[in-house]
Amino acid sequence: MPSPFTEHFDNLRSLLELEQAKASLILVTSAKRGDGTDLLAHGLAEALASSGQATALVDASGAAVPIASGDRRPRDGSVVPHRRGPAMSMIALAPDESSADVTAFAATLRERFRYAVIDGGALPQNELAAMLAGLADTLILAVRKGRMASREDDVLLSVVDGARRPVLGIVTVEPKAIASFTSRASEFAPSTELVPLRHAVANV
Amino acid sequence: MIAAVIIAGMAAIYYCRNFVPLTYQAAARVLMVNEERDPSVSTGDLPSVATSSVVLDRVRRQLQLPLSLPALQGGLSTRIVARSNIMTISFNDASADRAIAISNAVADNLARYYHELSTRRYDEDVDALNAAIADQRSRLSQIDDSIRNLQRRDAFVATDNAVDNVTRHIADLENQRAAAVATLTGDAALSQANAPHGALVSSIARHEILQGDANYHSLRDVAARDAAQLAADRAQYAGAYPGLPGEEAKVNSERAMLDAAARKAVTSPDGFSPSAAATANEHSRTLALVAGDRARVAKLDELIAEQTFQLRDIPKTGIAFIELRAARDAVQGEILTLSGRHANALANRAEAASLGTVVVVDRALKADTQLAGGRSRVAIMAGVALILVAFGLAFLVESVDPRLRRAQQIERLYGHPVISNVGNR
Repeated sequence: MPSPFTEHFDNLRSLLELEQAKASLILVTSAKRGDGTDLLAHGLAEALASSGQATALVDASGAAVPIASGDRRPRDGSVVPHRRGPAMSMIALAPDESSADVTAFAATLRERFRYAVIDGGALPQNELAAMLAGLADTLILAVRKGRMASREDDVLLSVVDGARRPVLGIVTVEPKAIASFTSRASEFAPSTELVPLRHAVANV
Repeated sequence: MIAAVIIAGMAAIYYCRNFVPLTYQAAARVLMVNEERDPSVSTGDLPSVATSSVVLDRVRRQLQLPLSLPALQGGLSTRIVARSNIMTISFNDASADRAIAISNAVADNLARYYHELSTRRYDEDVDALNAAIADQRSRLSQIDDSIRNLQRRDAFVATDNAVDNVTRHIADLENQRAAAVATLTGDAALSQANAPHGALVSSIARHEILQGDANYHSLRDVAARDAAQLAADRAQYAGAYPGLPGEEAKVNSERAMLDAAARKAVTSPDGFSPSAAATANEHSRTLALVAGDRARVAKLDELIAEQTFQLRDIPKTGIAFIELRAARDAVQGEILTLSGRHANALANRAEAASLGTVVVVDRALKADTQLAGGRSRVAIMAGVALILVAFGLAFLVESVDPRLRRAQQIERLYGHPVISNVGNR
């Protein structure tokens, strides 16, 4: 079932293709948990995949991957096809401290996919996402509308500035959309389990 | 919050409509006449003069208002009609009658005080000149008193030939004295001539008194008869008569009684001697004449001495008199000068009063409610104000809300553009 916000993501895809023609590694991140990076990453990956490009959706948030009982549970970071919607590979990562593995994983993604959309989750609390920020071709920042501004916003900006990577822009996400996506996540993505990054690198 | 404020506004409107007391406004108008000719005050000064403490204090006293000056000043408003010399004086009060009375009283007292201001400097001059003239008149009165006292002491001091007059007067007095002394001498001689001689008067008086005393005559007759008898008996009996001693004793006794009766008659208050009385009267008269003559002489001596003293004092008195006359002339001249200046000051004041005048052209006859529509307008205005305040508060709350709601707010925080809003259908 396609995302109910397809139009938004198609526009976002067009903007990405227009602004970042050579971009293949896209990190979607935010300052706080619950800002909707999963919705944004999923919708953007779907939009890119629906255009026929080889696309991977990498869940590096380390926390928000839904696990549905009874589904297939690929181990060792195996890549599974999307259960519904356009064909794309989905990878769920567990946090890993090795920057060498992260670099290798990013290189692998560039080789295998035209686009790899990485859900970095809340960057200030996610070291893996912070490392990926330095490797991504472009960054998209998600902000949940209506939340309080906080110190994490400053931390995010500080990390992004330090990464010296281009920022495509900010995507604001309505709280109702996040809630809707969270309640229907199993319909959008296959059930996965978190795998160590080194396994994911080997299996992609 | 907006709803709460609007509800509060509605409550305020209801309160205003039903509980806010009405106030009344009355207005009087004054006109400044000949402003261009009066350099001291202009139309622009009228509001300040109208709301001055002098004018308001007079109004308060005149109407016996239980208001303080600040309260009176607070209710008063003045406005000059554009491009005119007319000023409107308005007063707001809870009482319509009092608003009318105060507006009119302010206008009246403003006109009066303005007139005082215009003529004040001349009033001060006139008052000062009045005081100076009164002072000079007092001095003149004192000088006149001094001159009168001097003339009372010396009647000739005011004449031109005072010495001749005094000398002539002394000579006249001395002539009178000489005549008086002559009269005195004559009267004294007469008195001395008429003075009763003691023994003679006593003898005559005794005789006249005893002559009139019947008891004395009776005793004298008895004593004379018995004495004759004794003499006859002595002659007859040549001392051998045994009754002689008895007769002698009787005669002696009668003689003693006769002497006693004579003494009694002479010393009796009823004893009267016409000759002695006449002599005494004449002597008293001549003595009185002499005393009168002496008194006259003494008085003439006194007058002569006084005139002689004045004659010696004429140079000093004359100088004092001349000085007083000169001082009087000077004071009179000063009074004339001051009177001239006084007349000029009065003329100047009259001219100043005619230069500029404030007149009441329109007295307050009725009082209107302070705002057209009264409570309703107040309520509407309060409601509109509260609604504006409500919206203002809403924008204020929105602007200080730390929540990330608007794209501009987020862009300002992150420094990057918002490229999409997911979930906004």
